Amino acid sequence: MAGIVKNIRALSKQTNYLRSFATRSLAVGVNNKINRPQQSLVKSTLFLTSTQPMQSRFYSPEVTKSKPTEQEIKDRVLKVCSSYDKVTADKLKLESHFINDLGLDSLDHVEVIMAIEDEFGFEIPDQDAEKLLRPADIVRYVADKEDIYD
Amino acid sequence: MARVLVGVKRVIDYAVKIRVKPDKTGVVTDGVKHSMNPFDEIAVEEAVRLKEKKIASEVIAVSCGPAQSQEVLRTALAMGVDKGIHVEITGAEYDTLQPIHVSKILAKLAEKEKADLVIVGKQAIDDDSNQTAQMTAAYLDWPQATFASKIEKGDKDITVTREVDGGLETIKCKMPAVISADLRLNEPRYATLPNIMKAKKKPITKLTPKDLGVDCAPRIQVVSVEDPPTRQAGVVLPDVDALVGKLKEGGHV
Amino acid sequence: MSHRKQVIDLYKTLLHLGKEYPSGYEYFRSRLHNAFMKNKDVTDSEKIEKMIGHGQYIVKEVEALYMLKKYRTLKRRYYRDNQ
Repeated sequence: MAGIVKNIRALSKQTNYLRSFATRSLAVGVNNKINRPQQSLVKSTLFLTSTQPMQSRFYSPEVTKSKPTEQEIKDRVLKVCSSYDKVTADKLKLESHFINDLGLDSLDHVEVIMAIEDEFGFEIPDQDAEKLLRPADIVRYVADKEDIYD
Repeated sequence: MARVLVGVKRVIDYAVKIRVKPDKTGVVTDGVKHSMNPFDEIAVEEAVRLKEKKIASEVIAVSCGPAQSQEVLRTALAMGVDKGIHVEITGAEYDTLQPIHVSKILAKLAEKEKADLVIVGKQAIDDDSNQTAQMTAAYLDWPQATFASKIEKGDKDITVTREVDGGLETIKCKMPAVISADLRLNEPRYATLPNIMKAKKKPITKLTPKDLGVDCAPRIQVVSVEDPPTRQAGVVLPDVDALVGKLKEGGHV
Repeated sequence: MSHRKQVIDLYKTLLHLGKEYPSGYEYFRSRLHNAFMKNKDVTDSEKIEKMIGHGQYIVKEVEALYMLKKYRTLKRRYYRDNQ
């Protein structure tokens, strides 16, 4: 964060130039940072950008109409959880507790929930999110949302 | 109040290093990050501001292309657009999709949606054609204001400041009209996370060019795509005299 | 809004922004995580509010950074000669 803040400080002065549309160049240090390729962004498996086929990402009504089965939801939830780098795959079970069994902290938990939101394309309100402490809880929650039990 | 149609194109992200395919038929797009054409972001921002100023009643975004085009429509919706229209064009037809086709599609949709204003980016950063606004205006037989850096809506007309060579030109034209956005028109907002989530609930209609009676047969053939020439490496000179000599040689002093 | 919710929202917003961070998402995420965790035991309401305010400032600045980066790239590519 300190690095981020430093970057920003160097930058905040420059922002005014942008606003007045002047042409002075940025501090070189900031420029270097900016031009660095986004390697690790692409490599991160948690938030896929565009490389991996994830058909569920096109949220048009026609596409999402087909309801996933419970098994599909289980698989997708486990896939998302296991791709989170602090989760050890062999420890991960549907019934594992994110914090007690898998050793995640509360912020990691927020990240897992965000990845789930990304995967299934809907928002999980915080008051619901804090109750979803096991993959199984998420599966049930998603299944409810997708209304697969009718 | 005006109804505004904005065109948004999905292009390779501006920060990606472009690679030309070895057979020179185009550039590598597989596994490459894509996003909304930055000039189209400016067009969307302007449309959304018109809505916020209660000048526009509804803002509709259109994107032509494969299923992934819906991602840029979602971005537009997250920025404040009301609804999206995805004109699905895939495969070989998408490979040869040209401004003339997009212009026809936009013109048809402008009529269908009873738009008073069509705003598009002045050009896309992938093919740099700079033709869509002009041809759309021609198809509709509407006035056009290209390279807009400022837009002011009057009673029945619109005053647009245009970026032209060596300065600014201010023109006034009747509505309905077609506008293309230049870089300085505004600073597009960032699509925030809550707005991205909300945008998922906004409607996207799917159409095909056929639904609109538009023929997508290519009018232009791309003969070859090549990398820009690489800069020649510099040389290190031993002393000032050598530098002066080189400068004289190059006719710089 | 409770502090808890505000902090979670802030964290999510920043994490979302981090996906496009020029030095990479992992770089951003690990630092962000540490910065938040460092203050996990803070209970003083005033202090928490101040830190949330600081976080919101960072959000604005990162957004400005992205905008500036894009603007500058386009300007360099398309407007080099005439100014």
